[in-house]
Amino acid sequence: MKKLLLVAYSIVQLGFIQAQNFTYNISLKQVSFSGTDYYSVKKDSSTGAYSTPQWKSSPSTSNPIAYKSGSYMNATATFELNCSNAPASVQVRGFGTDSFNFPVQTIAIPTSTTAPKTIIYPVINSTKMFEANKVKYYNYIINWEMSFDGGVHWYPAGTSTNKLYVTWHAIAPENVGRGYQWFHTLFELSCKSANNATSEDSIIAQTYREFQDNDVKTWDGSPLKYYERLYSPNSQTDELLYDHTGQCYCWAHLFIDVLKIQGIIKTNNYINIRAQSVSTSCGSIGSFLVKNWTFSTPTDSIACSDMPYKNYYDANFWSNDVYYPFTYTEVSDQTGLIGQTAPNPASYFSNHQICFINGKYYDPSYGLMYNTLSDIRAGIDGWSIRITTNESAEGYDINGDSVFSPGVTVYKMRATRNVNASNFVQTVASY
Amino acid sequence: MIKNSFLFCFLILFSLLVQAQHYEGNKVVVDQGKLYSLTSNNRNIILEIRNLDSNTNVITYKLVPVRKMEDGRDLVWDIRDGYFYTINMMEQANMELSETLKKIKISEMSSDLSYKLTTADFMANTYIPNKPFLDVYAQEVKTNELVFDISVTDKLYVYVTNKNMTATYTASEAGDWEKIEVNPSNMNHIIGYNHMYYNNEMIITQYDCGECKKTKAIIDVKKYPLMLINKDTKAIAALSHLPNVEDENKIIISIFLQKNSSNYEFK
Repeated sequence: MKKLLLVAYSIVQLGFIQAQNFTYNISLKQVSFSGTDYYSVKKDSSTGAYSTPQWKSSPSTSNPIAYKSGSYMNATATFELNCSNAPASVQVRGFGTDSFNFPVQTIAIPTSTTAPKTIIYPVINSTKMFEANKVKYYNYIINWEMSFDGGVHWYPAGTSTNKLYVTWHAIAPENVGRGYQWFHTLFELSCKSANNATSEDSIIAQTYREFQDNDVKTWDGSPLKYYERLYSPNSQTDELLYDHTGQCYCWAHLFIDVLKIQGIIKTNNYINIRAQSVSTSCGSIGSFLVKNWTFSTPTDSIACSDMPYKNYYDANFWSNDVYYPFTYTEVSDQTGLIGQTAPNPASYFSNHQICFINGKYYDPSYGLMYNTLSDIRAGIDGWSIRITTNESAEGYDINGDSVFSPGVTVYKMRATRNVNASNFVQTVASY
Repeated sequence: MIKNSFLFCFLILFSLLVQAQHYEGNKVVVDQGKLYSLTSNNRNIILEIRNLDSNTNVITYKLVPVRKMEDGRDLVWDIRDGYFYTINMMEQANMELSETLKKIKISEMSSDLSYKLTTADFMANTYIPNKPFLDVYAQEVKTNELVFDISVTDKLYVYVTNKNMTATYTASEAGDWEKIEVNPSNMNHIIGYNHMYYNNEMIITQYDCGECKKTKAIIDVKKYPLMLINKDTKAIAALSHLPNVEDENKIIISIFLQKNSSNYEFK
């Protein structure tokens, strides 16, 4: 057996040596992708599209590329050839992942220039098109080859590698003002999770699984967080991808934007839920406490029997905090519902943003789903009211200066643990 | 100082180069000899203040510590006696609906236009509970069917409409709300934000039908999309000179009040 292998190897080597009657040095310099249904992927930093050529040897570049399903890729490649006795022409071909190849092209070698010679593989379609209506995600590699003898012998000419995203349908147009651009991470989340999906239902289901493990990351692996701190001004996808943290607004937008990448566009899909403003003996309910909160013995329940518990806080409340810095506490935040890459995110809200798609409520901030609006109530421990008052009115010295000043603002949370005291109402928008 | 009558002839021409990046909305207010309009930079709403008595064209810029709706709809606002009134539609999960009505003392507004809004801002300056919003949001609301506006004279007026209700409310300084019946039957056709003015028991609105109802004059809104409300003269004018955007960073606002424009006077 060993002898047989040795003979075979010798025959192959003999052919190689005979074919190569000159020395050569080929290097792949760059590859550019284009096409009728090519999409220019944008950087998460909102600084524009990735550059072309999408692959370069120097400086080392490997930018993402994207196409609509049912389309062909177009590619052109540039090589440098150093050789002692170059033929008049060469042949070039590319073998790509999943047989998305680039066919043999005969290319004349320029005679007017000195070495190294630049060889340009022309813009040409891939040998097959992407399957229509099928999402694909590839680490797309093309092994380029060159022949100097009319295709008898082929030699490695370099390898290009790019992330390749294939979308189900035509991507929804960008809306820059609302923070939706064709961001790299949107493609990554969308096409990677929905890889091989062929229907709207399967795309939505597969994509949402990416959110259900509360471990959503950018294309390069950075965690995206739901309230890294208890306050965030961020409300749009572009802000979330830039800062890597944001409010529920960001997360609802993100999920819808991920679906937009597949061409899934819905109306009445963006839901702002609020506490129904039920009147109580100390005002209208206006906020809610997401699990878990614990309630101690109330000390001032007579003043407001409907909302017996109270906390105090000052005007700088939670701007840079990771926990609720109440100055007086009868209701305490505990670890409860896990948010996106956040074990105990902010949980005292006046509104919450979710998605409504094909009859189901999606809450991407927590990776949860609900069948009805009232089901969401299962995720809260109570309702609350914020009352703006002052030290004098409350008889509470919030700043510790031993003076009950009417000019010093005090914010008071009044709360009830009766989850049936109110319900959620929704505002519906099309995003 | 011009007051109480539009019969005085006056000409005010501003051709001002300002640094704001975007002109915000279609409303200009004159109050106590000052002219107010809105611009914005990347994220913040900025109040521009011009002194009508001055020939120097000095503009003061103040940060308005609120946000318009992120979907691009205008911030509704009005000026009265040195206060800026608005409804804050900041996308902020901790802002209660009842807290959205703001009354901000203009002289205490920050001049730091690069300021980043914080929790203190959306909780601050709450005027009185926004009952019109509590009412309209008590049922399911579709944002594309919701329009609201604000006007302040001796009282505060808030107008809201959606598919289920159309109402105008008035509130006293003490925060007592009352629904008032001033809406014509086709009120749903109000064209949008900052198109309402209330004066002398008349509600003035601009309509997509191209008319301004209940005024002595018919104003073709489509020809005059910029509304100037002069509280000193109790006059309203729809202006033909739109902001002339030269480039992203330069806006020239030309405002021309016509001499003897008595057809814009209200009685």
